[in-house]
Amino acid sequence: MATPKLCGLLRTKTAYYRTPDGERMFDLDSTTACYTCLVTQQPIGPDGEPVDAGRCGADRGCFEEER
Amino acid sequence: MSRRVTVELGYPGDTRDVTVEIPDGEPVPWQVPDRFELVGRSTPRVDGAMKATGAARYSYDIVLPEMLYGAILRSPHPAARVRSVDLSAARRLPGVRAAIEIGNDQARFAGQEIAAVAADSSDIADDAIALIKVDYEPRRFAVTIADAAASGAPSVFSGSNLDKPKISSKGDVDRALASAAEKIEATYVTPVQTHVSLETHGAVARFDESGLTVWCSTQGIFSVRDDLAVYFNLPPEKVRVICEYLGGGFGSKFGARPEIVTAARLAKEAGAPVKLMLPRGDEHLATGNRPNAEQTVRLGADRSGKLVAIDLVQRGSGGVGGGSGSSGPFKMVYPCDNIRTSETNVYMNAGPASPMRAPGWPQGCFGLEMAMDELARSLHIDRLEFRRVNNTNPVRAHELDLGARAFRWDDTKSALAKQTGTNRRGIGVACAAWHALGASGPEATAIAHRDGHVEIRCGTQDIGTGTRTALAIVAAEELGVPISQVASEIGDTRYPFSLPSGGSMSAPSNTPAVRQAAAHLRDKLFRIAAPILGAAPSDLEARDAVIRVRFDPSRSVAFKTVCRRIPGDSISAQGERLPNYQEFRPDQAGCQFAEVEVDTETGITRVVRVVAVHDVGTMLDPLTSRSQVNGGVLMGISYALFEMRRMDPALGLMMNPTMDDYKLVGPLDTPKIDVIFLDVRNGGTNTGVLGIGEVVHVASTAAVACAVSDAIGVPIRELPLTPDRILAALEHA
Repeated sequence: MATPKLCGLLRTKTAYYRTPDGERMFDLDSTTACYTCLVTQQPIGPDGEPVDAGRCGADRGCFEEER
Repeated sequence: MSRRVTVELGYPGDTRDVTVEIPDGEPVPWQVPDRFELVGRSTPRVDGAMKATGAARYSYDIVLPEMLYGAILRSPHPAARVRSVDLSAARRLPGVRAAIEIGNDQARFAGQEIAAVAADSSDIADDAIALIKVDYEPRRFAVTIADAAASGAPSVFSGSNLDKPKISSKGDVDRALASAAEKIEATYVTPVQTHVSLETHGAVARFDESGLTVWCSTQGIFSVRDDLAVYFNLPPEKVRVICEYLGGGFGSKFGARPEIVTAARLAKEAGAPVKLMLPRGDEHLATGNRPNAEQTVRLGADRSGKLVAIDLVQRGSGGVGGGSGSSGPFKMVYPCDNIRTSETNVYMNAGPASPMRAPGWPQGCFGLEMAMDELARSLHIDRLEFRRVNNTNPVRAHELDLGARAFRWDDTKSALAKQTGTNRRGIGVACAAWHALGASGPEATAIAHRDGHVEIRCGTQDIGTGTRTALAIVAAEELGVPISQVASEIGDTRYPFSLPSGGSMSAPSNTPAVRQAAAHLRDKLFRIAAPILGAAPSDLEARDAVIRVRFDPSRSVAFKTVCRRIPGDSISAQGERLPNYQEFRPDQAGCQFAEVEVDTETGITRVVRVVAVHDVGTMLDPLTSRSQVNGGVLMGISYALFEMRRMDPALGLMMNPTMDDYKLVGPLDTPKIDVIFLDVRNGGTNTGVLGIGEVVHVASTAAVACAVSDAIGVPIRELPLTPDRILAALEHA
């Protein structure tokens, strides 16, 4: 299954590592990953809702491409 | 070009020839028959004296000209709408140079950042914080799992406080449990634990014509650099992050955290450097924690004691964040055909979780191993034997044997069966696993100077685990020089790239890059030495501070003499960490045994001794590794007996955000800790070194908890094992 496109401002520990393809590493099945938004530096997005790999896709209003 | 080499991997008694394909220039992986000068010998830390004398410079120690001091205003309410923030009075205070809103219009936990100031002194900054007027509209809140999960509970966000459960399943658990010869079901509860790093979070930030420079207490200088570059819309080369020394992180110091961004924002607004190091109380409130967990465990076994089903239904809370799962041990430690886990994160109005030393594993291991003990007793099988029966990892099987002998499990068990009196002893055993074999990405530079000293530069950071020492050992071994001749330069984004330090990833990720760089440097030095020795470079070796002809060691030249022939000031070589190739094992095993003594009149528990058995990949330095084990065990004892974030459900506040009230293990609580290492030449990289930060901590709490239950004859299923809980358990036994 293709990895969904995730917000470029979504952060979690593994995302500071890269896959062999140079992509940020997200383990979508992880139950221990702690996510934050770089804008707020909290697990809360600019829209006041939780952030994680299941919520921070291209359909969210505050979504940004990876810079 | 690449070449194929066959290497002997494993450990004495269990070795395997593995053929790996490695690029030219990559050193042959260290293997079982290799003998070393430095690797595997106890080496005092190269920076030990710097730390012991106070010469080591932590972010806390940074003082810059014209530097200001920052402070953060935090929400006193667990839930409130922030109607307005008035900074005018704070800005008017003499000595205040910057005041900013953090931008949260909703406070969702007590301690959330609301505003910040920078001033000429920390006292003025504190006074300015007191002058900030915030109009809060307090709201209903929930700070326990039960309250947050209850029907009609106030919502932390717009939707339900309960995330959709994450379910993993293989086999048919219900059917296996129905047909199991023996089964148990119990619920195990673990509290929130805070990191309590000795150095608090924080940074010193400075904007100038070169860009943004940040000295910060971080586990990832490059991750902070990249985050700040994005946040401030700067090219990464305009951001420099420095972390010479780091006073612990345990997972809570990744990326550009709020206090780092806030320090930089204040510095930008003030036009002056700003130091913002958090006070101790803020550490407990807002810098992360290990989530709590309620784990309902069902295990089933056949008559031989073989597990036939493992079922976990869990819920936990990462406060306003997620990541509260604990299923790792249930899926990885004891293989079983039928395993199902269901994990639900519950949002509540408390500080967010962050990664913490083996995220999810200590709490999962506590639940799993306590349940294993309860099932073993139902089956009338010795608890150690029950684990042996259900272990399929050959490394751990060996470790269980080594540990049982060192611990004298059978003899101790027999002796304890005859004990009398009110002080009751008990023993426990728990198994650990981890799965980090490192990653590609890190680079290193090795430099030989004309005076013979060698520098290793790598943009990693030392969270206190001895990274400088590990890198120096690898380089010195490869170059055949004393470690005193090698300096490890780390902690600066001007050095070659490296990854964050966490998850036991540092040693397996960085040492191969350093070894490759040192090997390339050695080859350059061989080309200088070859004409001196009248031999081909390929016939030379570097050992004992000389470069010599391999088949005629009498023909040698001192390493320093060769360096004096360097035509310039120095020569250098690069190394990179390649993707993993074939290894001996894809995982890492361990086990720990504990003996405790419980005063059944006071409920006070003392851990008497611990035997910890761990595979470390290639053993680099037993002395430094032993420190890691000691730390992991003590942290586990602390979690078992003392640590707990206490939230007042009526006020919504943490009641013990100090190091007085948040009880930690101390020197008097330290047991005898015997450490047995299994030196497993694991391959995978050119060093086969593994990190041990996580695996040595995973089982400690569970081993102690199992021992306490053994001592008093009744399981206590909730941590910490405080005297009141022990007395209550005894009363109801």
